[in-house]
Amino acid sequence: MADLEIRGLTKIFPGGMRALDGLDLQIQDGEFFALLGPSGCGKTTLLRSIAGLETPNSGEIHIGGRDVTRLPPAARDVAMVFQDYALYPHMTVADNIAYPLKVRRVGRKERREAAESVGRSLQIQGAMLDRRPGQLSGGQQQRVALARAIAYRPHVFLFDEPLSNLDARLRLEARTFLKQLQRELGVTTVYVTHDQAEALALADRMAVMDQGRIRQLDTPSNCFLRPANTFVAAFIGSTPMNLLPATVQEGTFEVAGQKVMIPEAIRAKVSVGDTVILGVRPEYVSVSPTELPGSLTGTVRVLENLGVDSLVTVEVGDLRVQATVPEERVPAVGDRIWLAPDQRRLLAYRQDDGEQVGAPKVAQSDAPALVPGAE
Amino acid sequence: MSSRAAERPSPPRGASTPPEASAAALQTRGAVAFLTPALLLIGIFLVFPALWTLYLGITDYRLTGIQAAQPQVIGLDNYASALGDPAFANSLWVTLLYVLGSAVIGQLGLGFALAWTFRRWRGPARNALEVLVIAAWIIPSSVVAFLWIAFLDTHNGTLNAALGNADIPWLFSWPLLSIIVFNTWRGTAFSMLLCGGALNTLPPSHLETARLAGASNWQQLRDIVLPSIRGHLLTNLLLISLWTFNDFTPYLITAGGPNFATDTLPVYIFRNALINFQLGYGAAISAILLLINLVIALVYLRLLRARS
Amino acid sequence: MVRDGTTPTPDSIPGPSEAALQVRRLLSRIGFYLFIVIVGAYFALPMLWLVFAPFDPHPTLAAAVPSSVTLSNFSDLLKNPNALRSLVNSIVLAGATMVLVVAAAAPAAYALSRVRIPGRDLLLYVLLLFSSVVTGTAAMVPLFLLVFNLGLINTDVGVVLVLAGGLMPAGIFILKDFVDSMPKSYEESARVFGASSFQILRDIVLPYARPGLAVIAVWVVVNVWSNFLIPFILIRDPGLMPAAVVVYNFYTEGGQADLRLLSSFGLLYSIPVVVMYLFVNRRYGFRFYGGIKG
Repeated sequence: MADLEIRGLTKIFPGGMRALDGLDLQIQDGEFFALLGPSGCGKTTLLRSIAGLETPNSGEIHIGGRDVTRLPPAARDVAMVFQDYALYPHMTVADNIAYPLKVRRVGRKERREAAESVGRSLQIQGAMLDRRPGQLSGGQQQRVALARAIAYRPHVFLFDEPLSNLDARLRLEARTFLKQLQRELGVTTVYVTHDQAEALALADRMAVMDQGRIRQLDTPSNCFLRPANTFVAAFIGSTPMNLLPATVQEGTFEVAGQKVMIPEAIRAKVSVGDTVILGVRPEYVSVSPTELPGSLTGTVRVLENLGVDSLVTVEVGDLRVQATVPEERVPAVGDRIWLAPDQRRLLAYRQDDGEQVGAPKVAQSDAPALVPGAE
Repeated sequence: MSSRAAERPSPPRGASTPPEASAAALQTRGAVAFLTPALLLIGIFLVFPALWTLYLGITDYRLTGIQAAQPQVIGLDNYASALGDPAFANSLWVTLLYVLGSAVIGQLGLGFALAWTFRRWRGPARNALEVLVIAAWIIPSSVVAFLWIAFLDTHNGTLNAALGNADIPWLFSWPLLSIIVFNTWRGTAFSMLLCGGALNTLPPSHLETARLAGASNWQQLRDIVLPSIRGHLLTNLLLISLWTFNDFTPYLITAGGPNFATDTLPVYIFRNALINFQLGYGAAISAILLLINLVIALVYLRLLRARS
Repeated sequence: MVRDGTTPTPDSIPGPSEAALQVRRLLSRIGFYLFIVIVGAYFALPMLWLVFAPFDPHPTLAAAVPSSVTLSNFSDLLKNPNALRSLVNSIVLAGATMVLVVAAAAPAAYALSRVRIPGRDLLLYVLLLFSSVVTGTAAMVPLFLLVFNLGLINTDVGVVLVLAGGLMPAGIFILKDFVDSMPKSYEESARVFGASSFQILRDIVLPYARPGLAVIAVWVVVNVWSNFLIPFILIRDPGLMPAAVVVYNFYTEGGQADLRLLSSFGLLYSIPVVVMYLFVNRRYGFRFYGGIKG
């Protein structure tokens, strides 16, 4: 068991690619921590640096209070599960699981016992132990890789997109299983994924990364409900957040020539004449066939069935606004409807750096603000 | 679990400087150690001989006599005498005909024809023929050489027997043609296998589209197949040409004769350098052969690069 | 492809008549079989002698089904000291070269595949170039002189070193292909679990590359077994000559060749390479590596 601390970690690859940019991070003992971000954001480099597979250019990594920055992977007490599982094709399942023990010169009989006991807890047992990895299904291979990591009894688990090679249904099952397993073992876990749903479902806390930096470090529910900036807002959520350019007027935002009331919580943070980007999730936009106070109006252009709800795309002036509506209230394409953002869930971001209004200006932030439609 | 972890013996490798970004079982210094034996062997027995050839070619090196103890640098005399020697000109000409006939026309042509035939033909007869063609390629050269001496024998040979006791002295009347036919027989397998591989890379839908449009077999071949596998054919051609230039097997059948009719460059080098022991002169001819090889290999490697 | 003669072709050009089509089909069938028969005869006839003569009590140069089948040619061969000794010499040469090439090429291939050595690409290019340019025939003069000056003429060691040097680049390329196909995560995973370099090589890399090692081992043996030129120019002592040279001597030295001996010896000497080729081909299929003759 160990906590994990990262200070000012920078990794520049040959060729000048800055994969990690002075990154600071603290992960508590026993925490399930997710690193989320688009490909190339540096999340895998961070994980590999923790494992000792990449050597950072500067910064420090502490595991359980011990500075491991200069230590080889072997001395760090971490176990890693790779995206391709890295199961050795020439070894049986049992030998694969017990390979970390073989490295430590544990006897053959004890290795077998360990493989059997760890395997049992992951439903890898009986004849399966003596098969080769190539004879197993994807889900079974994934569990063998997990079992091998567990057999090592590490201080920290490092997971590099371990579910991405499974098909959709299996991935959901494995996700639930993984979360339960981590709770039982209580081992600090760092989990890299590009799938925001996976991060939201699994993590105690998560870091959303972009271009080698952390853009938001928070609980999943805060990342979902209160994205710190337009980047996180656009990245998280199964339906993308509405990001609408607006100008501040007396008591209202003007969006595409129409007016939306400024929520109480924001009012003090903006002044008349500011240009901002309003963010509101489709789930928090109520739809009405009749006029509502302080709402936007437009014409329904597209309807998408999401199962329980439908996603309605409405043309408001020259903007497109999306909202989810329950099945009994679905309008027809071409209908004129009114859209009212939930005042408690309406967020405002600065036009220039994409951070929330009222947030302190980040000195180092020269990252370009995410403008709606730019992605 | 934490107690178990604490009891664990310390990891095998101490707290040293971290490994380079690579997780391979080697660092740069180890890599050099890993490479050294192989590079040493290659350096001494492959690279050095090639460079030494260039030096020997400008000396009057001989294995015995004064020139053996103190070989003199005689400049380009060996090259001059080679280029002025009608025997060399003959050898070069014979080699060109041999390469053109057996590699370019024989092996490539027949190899492609067989690959094209085998593409859709199935059954025991096809498998038997394929095994035969490959057997001709892999049986050691000193054995196949005698098989052809026997096959082409004037009075008892199987070929003449098949032609109704013709008694044609093939190796004397048609020596160059004989070894060309021999080497086509010998080496077709490689082109067949390579063309077969190339044809397999062709998506079936391409040919099916052509067939739906009503293209005949010949039109499919000309318009779809050949343009698609042109690169494979060209690299194959370069390789078999290079090998045929350096093929020593004709020596085992005709020893260069009769009357130098099959005196290819390898045979010419062998006779001058290792029978007559004119090592300097032999080295000069070798250098010319190396140059031919180099040109072919450079074109070949360029093609490979362009394709990958 | 049954086509109704009356149906117009898609672009309404009248097609050839049914009869003309049938004739054309017949002709192409005949052409096909003619091609097969001629090519089949071309490849089969020279080979027949090797199939029949070894079992014929009185073989001639003509391939003929023996009137009675005998194994006496082989039992006589086993009494011939030259033939047997040469087979042993071939085994020694092939075995020693194989060990040398595998032992040197395997670590080199691993290093070239996994470590970013400065100038690696150039090195690979130069290796490929030299391996295809410097053939035994083109370099026979310096090879002979080199071995002569090293005092290795007329020794197995000289032949083994020259052959190993020539086969090494191709061996490295074949093995590098195998190592390249191994995911890097295999080593990384073992590394994170604390495996030392030695353990990674022993437990992960070597077992993974075993098929590759088998392929180049067999490939080296086949090449050395068949090689005629190098032992021919480097070995003068008949007692050291490998089978490749002794077979040749059987039909070039000393007047009339003993066809009973020659045929049985030729067959016995050829069978191993055919078997080994079939083994590799069965397990790994025909693969083509750079400028390498299989």
